[in-house]
Amino acid sequence: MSLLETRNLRKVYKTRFGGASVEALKDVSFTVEPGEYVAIMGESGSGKTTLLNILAALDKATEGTVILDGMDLTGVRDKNVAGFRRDNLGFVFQEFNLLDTFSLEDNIYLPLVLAGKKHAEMKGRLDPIAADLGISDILKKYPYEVSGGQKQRAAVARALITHPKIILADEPTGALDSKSSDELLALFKKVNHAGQTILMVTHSVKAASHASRVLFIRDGVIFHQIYRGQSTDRQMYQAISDTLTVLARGGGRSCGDRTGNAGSGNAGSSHVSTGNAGSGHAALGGDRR
Amino acid sequence: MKLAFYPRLAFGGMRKNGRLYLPYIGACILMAAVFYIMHFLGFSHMLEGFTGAGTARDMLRLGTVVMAIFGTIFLFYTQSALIKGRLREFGLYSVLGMNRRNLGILIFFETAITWLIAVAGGLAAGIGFSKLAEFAFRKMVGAGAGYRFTVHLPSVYATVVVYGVIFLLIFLNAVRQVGFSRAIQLVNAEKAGEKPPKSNWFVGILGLVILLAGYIVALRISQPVSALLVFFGAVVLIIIGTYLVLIAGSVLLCRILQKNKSYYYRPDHFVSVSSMTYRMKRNGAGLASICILLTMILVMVSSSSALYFNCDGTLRNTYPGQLNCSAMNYGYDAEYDEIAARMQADLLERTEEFGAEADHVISVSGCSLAGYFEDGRLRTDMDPMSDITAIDYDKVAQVYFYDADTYNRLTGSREVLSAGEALVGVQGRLDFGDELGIGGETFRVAGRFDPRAGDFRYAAGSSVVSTLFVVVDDLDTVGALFNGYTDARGRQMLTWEWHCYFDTDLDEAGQNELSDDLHGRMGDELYPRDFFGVRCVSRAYERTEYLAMFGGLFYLGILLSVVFLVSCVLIIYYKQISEGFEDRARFGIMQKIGMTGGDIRKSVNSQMLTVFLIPIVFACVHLAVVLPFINKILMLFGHNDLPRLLISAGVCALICGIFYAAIYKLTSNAYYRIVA
Repeated sequence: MSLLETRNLRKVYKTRFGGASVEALKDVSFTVEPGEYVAIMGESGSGKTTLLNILAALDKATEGTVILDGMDLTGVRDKNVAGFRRDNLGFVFQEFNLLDTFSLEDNIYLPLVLAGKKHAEMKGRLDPIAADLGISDILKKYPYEVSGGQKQRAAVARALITHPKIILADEPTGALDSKSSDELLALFKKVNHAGQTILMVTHSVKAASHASRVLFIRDGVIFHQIYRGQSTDRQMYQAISDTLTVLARGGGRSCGDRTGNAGSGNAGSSHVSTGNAGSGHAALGGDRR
Repeated sequence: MKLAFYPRLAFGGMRKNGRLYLPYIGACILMAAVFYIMHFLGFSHMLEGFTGAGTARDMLRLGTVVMAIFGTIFLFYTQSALIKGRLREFGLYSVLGMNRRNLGILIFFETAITWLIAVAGGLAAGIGFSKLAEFAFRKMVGAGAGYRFTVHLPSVYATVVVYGVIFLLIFLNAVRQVGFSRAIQLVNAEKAGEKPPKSNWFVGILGLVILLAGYIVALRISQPVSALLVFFGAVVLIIIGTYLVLIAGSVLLCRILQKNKSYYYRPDHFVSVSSMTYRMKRNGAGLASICILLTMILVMVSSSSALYFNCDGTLRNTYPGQLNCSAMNYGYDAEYDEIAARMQADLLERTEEFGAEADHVISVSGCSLAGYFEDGRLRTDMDPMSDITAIDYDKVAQVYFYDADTYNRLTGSREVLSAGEALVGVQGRLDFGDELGIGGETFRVAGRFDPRAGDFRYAAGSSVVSTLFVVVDDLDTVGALFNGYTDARGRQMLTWEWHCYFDTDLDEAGQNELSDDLHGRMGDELYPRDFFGVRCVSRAYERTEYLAMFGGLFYLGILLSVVFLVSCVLIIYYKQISEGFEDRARFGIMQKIGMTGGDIRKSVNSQMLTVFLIPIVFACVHLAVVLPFINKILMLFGHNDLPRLLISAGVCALICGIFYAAIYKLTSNAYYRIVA
């Protein structure tokens, strides 16, 4: 059974005075299996942040459903949404979103405190995570005292400490230098190997090349996807680059197949799904219909 | 760039930030208005002409200074928060090519515009409010002729100058904030973190010590008149202590709470305690000022309302009868008592001629002696001028001598005393054993009695100094023993006094007329014989005087309290709202991480409660500490009713509390709407 499933998501934004409406998501369906590490790629305005916001229950879809571990997100009452998020989801943001009035330790504790956990239990959970992430020594410091990479690791610790069903990461390397980015990506991989499901939105090819599967989104639809299979990060990187090149040339959805094939070829042994209906998502969603 | 460009740019910038600037300017106007009113009441001649005005004026002058300090701190911090929010905008100007000088001129015009609006609006509001107050005053008390509210130029100047200085400081600070940073720092300023404030153990504990010292000094005072200076010392200590405790101590407290893990790591405390740590550094001084103002409100209203509502009780203390006659003379001579008896018979006869019937006639005569009570003996050899430093005012005492006949008549008892024996009643804190020494003489204490029992209370009256009532067999003995005592300046120490109180069946106008008549009669008879303090007072007449005086004080108390309270509360409200805008992003993050609406509510409530409770709790403690002293000050007015004072204080604190609670609810709702 898949951990996360979205069906026919559609999101329409209306401008305030009822003028033109913008269709940010048209028809998005995909699934994420437990233990997967999925990257969603797309350019600015492609709808990937809208998608993430809907998955995070920060925003509501106009149509369609999101099912997390058998629970329908669209059915969660407004008043329970925050609690739901706290108990089931972990977040890593581009801008870290650490509170400057808290030390790193307290920042990490925040979701647990909100959940009403005792200090001893929180401490017990934090110690191994902090050791894993290499931030044990800086826990007492405040966000303004540490580097961007350290802040992001604290943010990852905050996401992990609730043992979430899935971690949602929004451009986690966006504000980091390349060394910190590499460290963070290595960290994600390690966490993923330990069984944590991760869904990451990015437009960094390097970040996406660490994932086990990459979804491409353009103009509000899932355009294509690449499975890692047995390929290395380098091969994955190449496959993603090639896909992006085709995307950038402005190929329509029908070109997707060919792009996908080209990508598959270059990525060597990587398994690339090419939907015969002309869309990546059909391969996933179609067999369920 | 043309100079005319700046005012327009400045004005435009302020208008675009209207959401923040409007309440800020509103607060400026309000504070300037309050400053004007207080300065006006404290320094103009308006309050001259009624008793008790001296204390009220001292308080108002102190209030003016507190208001100026408070205004400076409050506006200073508010403005720097405002500028901080606009650094991005200034950074943009800077990127677009304005240099520091240009930005300085821009800020100058912004500050100048604000100053102009604040002072003009404040003066208009202040003058308008004082006119309104005058109208209400006349309506309420009716005796308004002496209390004219006019435009008081020195107060206008003071307001203009004080606010000029405040805004100059604000301007310099803004220039410092904007001028010393690079353009790119300005653009990114909002993202820069703030250092968590350090807990300063030394200052925190020092503040606590000073505060406690002030409390102890205030509580130890037992003699109000001469200890007024000491009391002001205590007030200064309490004020300094309050500031230090709230500025440093509150950060310290937050730090201690953070160390207490089972308290800190709870949904309702976690967020509020950590943000309070930051807030208190900036708000401590403001909260301390609010606390001082609240204390002043409570002191003013509780004392003046006690006086006003207990007016009749006070009158009865001072004037037991409808008509009250008295006279005094130095030394003791048996002839004095005879003259008094003749005088009394004459007065009653006169009253009958007037067509009235005298009722409840009480007459008392006795001798008194003042001195310094030490080790069971009243010393009469102290020179208050040369020994002034050695004098403990708690030990200053007065002795009244009565003969056994007077005592038996008043109390209905049948005491027989032999020579050298005395019955003693004590009012105040005086200790002695079986023997009581007075000057060089010693009396054997035959028994003790309660001076407030029976009709004797009319003899006892109410006094602020400790008093001994000594009943002896015969006043002649007293005269023989003490007539020779003289003070350091050679004056005879022993004083004889006579009081006669009685009621009539006349109406108030008749009582007033009779008292004038009797007073003339007494003067004719007694002044030629060297008597002094010859009075005949009608209580009805005094009542109107008292009502005007106490009513005036009470009204003043209410007026000032309303002004204080409204400004305090508006300031807190404004402060919280502007902080709400600062906190918005923070709460946004927390919502993303999983803070529910309920969590936010709890956290907002816990934070608000602390901010609102601190000043009022401190103010109530301050009030409790100074109440004993107030009680003694009120005794000077003849008010001797501690329970009523306590009730007044309780009711005042309650009303303040209710008002406060309403504003608290309003503020926390507004804050919640902003952050959620």
